[in-house]
Amino acid sequence: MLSLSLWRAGARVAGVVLALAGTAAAGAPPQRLPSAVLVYPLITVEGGGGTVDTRVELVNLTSRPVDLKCVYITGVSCRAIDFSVRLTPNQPLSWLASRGVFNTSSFTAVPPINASGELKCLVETDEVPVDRHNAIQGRATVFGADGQTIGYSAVGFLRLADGMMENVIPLDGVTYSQCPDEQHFVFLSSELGNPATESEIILAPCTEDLQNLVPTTTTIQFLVINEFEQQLSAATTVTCYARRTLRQISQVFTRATLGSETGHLIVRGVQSPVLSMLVDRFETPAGVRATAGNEPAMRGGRSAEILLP
Amino acid sequence: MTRRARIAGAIGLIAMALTLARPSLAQTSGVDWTAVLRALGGALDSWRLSPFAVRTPTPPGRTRTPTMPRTATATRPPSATATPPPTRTETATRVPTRTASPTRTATLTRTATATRPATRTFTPRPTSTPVPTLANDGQVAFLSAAQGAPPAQKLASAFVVFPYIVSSATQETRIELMNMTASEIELQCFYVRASDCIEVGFFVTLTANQPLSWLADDGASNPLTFSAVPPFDGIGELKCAVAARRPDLSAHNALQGRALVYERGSGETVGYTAVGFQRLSPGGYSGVIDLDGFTYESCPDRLHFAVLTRETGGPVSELITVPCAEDLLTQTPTETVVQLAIINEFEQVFSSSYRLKCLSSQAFSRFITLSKSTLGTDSAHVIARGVSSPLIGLVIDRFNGQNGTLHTTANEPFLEGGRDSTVIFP
Repeated sequence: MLSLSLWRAGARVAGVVLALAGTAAAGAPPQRLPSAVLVYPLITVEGGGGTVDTRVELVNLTSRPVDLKCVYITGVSCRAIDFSVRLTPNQPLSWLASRGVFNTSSFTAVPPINASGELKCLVETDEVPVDRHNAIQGRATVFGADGQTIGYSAVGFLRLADGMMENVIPLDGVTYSQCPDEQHFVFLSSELGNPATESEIILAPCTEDLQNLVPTTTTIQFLVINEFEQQLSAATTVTCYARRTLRQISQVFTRATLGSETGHLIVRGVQSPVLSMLVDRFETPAGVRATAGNEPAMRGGRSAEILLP
Repeated sequence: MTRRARIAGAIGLIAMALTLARPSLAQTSGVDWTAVLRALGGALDSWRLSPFAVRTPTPPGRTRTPTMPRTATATRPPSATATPPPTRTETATRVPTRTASPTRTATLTRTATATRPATRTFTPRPTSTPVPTLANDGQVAFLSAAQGAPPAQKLASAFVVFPYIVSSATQETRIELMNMTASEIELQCFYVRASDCIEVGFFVTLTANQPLSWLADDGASNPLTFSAVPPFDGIGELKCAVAARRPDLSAHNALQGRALVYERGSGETVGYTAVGFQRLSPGGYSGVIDLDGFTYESCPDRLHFAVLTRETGGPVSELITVPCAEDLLTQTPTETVVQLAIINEFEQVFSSSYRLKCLSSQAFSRFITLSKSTLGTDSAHVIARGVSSPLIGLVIDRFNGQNGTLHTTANEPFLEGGRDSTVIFP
């Protein structure tokens, strides 16, 4: 009996080690865990928030206060606007991107923006242990006056090694988890008819030099597989940030070409790994427009680097 | 023991021996060396002191060393690569880790674990109780730190759970699955209806990299791949496991899925990714899914949600929860109490709880602690924990936007800690 329980305990330890090995080694970043770096690939404000606005949510998952360094990166100019946020233990914090937030007691001031782009937040700590870094999670909801709502979780990267946060963030599978090599989506093929579907894709390179404001340019390859296992491909180039409809990228995303309602899309950056998400837009049988965020499944990892100002 | 310590010990012994030999000293003016040597010999014998490798203190060291490396092991690969050689010398702790080869040998036993499924085959399935034995574990729901590792999400998985499927006159669900590998996979899936906890099972085959989607109220049928999905009516959950034909992990970890639940009339849409569990150790598929952190990833111990608080007269969000453990073989529904800790932006903590059987959809209006008037802030941090079974869940956020427009979106949880549970398929 004792040996059995010992065996079970040993097996469990081995399992945990295996699980950790899976997360710590190079590979796709595991998601929905307390993280050290968060990337929100879609922050949009139009018409000062009257047309489209974004609610950004952050949560401290630990019982310690956490200091964050955050950077908005506007999609068109690739400019960075940075700010600091302090979260008390377990504190949730949310703000509308069009309004920002101002809190003198916690020294938190988030500037308002009126643009589209991405947001990156990093745990800023002088403490060395890994668990002091892996503390936050976040999500965002983009909503418009037309009723569209896109809710998604930020992409999280875990700190893997002890050490202080510096302004060079190596997403290399050693210090922080790597960027995903491939991102897999199930998407609804584009259709002009009734009901219409027209999905969008958001693309942002993982590598970013915000210190020298050098935008990253990369070619992005798309592999599309339909329900009959037939493969089609397409490609595009992105500098800094892009938001396009699938139809703008290629006809292979249309139902007429694909031949099936859904497709399996694999996205891969060539010069730099990319982060991406889809916005599903479709019509219900009653002809009402519906919208939803479509987050990818990830496979494999590639190294990238974020250089902060 | 270090050399210096050994020398100090020896000097101490000689001093003691001299003390013991004092009577002889009193008798004669010179040293009685015979008495000194006898006393020294006695001391050596009784203390088993050896000038060579000291064995006695090693056991405590041994027991302790494996405990430390456990944490260190995870960090080890990075530090090994990143730390320059000097750090290595300092990390002399690593040497004991190596010496403690017994730990490694224990790991070898893990290989023998491959025998585990075989043991399973002999054991009649109902024996493995699906309902966790952690009945009292959750009494103090949030005081203890969460143990174990939560399941990493958005990776190719072996078992996926869709906690919210609706098919009714007003609502519809599109279920999407994709094979993330270049090999054909077979899936065993079950809908579990919330109203009576009754299951409906089916098999689906996905060819290499194939995406597949269907509407819950229509189902799907493909005679070429022997796939047939029955139509589903009502509210429930869907669980799909990869019934791998090969024991290797790559044959199991192949699947991902998502669902779009929408109102036919208003277009309100809840799109979410299925919760995925990876297979961690190679072996055959038996229909018993041990979410124990060894065979498959554990269930999350706690679900963390960042939610919008409910405004008076405003739209009402919902919290959907399903238990991780499920015995579909004996149709024994899992029941558990769900404890909620609710923290506002001022770090003030509130709590609430409810009872869950099979599937529960709780409107935020049921909890006064989730209203803006009680919490005093726009957003809240909700931590949900099942007492006798870990949970999987989802929040449906509803709020008013520009011009009072109603907005609906899925709010998927962040996961903390891990707890064991078992899902048994018939």
